[in-house]
Amino acid sequence: MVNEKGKMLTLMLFSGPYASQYADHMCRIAKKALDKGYRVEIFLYGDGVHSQLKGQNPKMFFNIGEALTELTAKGAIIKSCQRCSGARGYIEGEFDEKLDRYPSSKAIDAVKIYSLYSFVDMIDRTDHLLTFGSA
Amino acid sequence: MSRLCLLIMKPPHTDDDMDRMCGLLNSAKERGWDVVIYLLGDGVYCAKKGQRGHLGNSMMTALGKGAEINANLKDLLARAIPPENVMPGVKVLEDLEGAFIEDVMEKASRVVSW
Amino acid sequence: MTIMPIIVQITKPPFGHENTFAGLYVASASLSKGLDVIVILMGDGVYVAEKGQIDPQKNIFLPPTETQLNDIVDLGGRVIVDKNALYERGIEYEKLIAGVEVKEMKEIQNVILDHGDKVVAF
Repeated sequence: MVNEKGKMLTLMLFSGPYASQYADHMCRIAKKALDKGYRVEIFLYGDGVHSQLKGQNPKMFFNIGEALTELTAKGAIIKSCQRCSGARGYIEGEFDEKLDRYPSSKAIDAVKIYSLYSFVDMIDRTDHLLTFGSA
Repeated sequence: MSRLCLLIMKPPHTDDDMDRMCGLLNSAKERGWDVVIYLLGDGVYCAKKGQRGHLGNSMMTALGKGAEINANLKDLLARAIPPENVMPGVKVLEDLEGAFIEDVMEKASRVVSW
Repeated sequence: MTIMPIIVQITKPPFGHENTFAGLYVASASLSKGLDVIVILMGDGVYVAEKGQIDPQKNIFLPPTETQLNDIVDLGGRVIVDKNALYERGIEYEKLIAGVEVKEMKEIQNVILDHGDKVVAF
């Protein structure tokens, strides 16, 4: 199903989960794009990196951590900003070439912590770009 | 024919984004472009009937200029805006995200989201 | 792959929110990778173009956005500033960093329509 149509959509999330609906909107739009066969890459930036936190347990809200994990199961590639993650206490060492990410026991496996240049690379390759929670 | 696609996720009075959106829409229409607006989340407040002032009536103005406007049903209902309280001319969609993705990926020349 | 420039749109002032720093960082990173970039400063974002920030790193523990913006200009990025927003905020043109373009909103809208293939809004 993924890559059927070949076109790519990039989504950037700038605000944290639960403080607003932006993370929900992003996840639902990403899921719709994947279901329709498009390639989806997501970059978590600013407070958006908090969506990668392991062990989220919202009582009455849409679980963003689980949503991101489902998106990667459907083929989405999700990366988060190394500078923003580091500032917020997620990074636990130097970049791990073998794991192809910055190590973090606090982040879900679905999200790879990477440099901002990975977002620049997404922007360069993508057919369309949407931003959530930044404006 | 070029097509401008706008995704709005904020209410109309929050900041000066609505004025900017209207300006962009006007410029696109002057060029003869199609313009389509998708209202999601708090953006559905833009389609609520009975607002006053130019910001609250931005969608009416947009409709008058020939823009297509779609609002998300679930977000409307959650915010106590049943379809009969939506501005006439605004389409209420059950699968707004689906329609939006089709538009963005297959039709739109330019996409701006905020 | 990108032929059109990337548009980085900033509408918040420096320092009060992370948005400006984050947006300018995307702009400079894109330029350093050889992409074309247009930074558009609108609304409160026009404050970013005002020169004369006095040691924000020391004073408020935040990196100087003026340095970021100067770097963007030096790297060949285009910086467009909303004329009316400057007027409303009482910012004279002499107070702006070198290399920015002051434009009417109508011209800015045309830039977005002409080049706005990929708009990163902050």
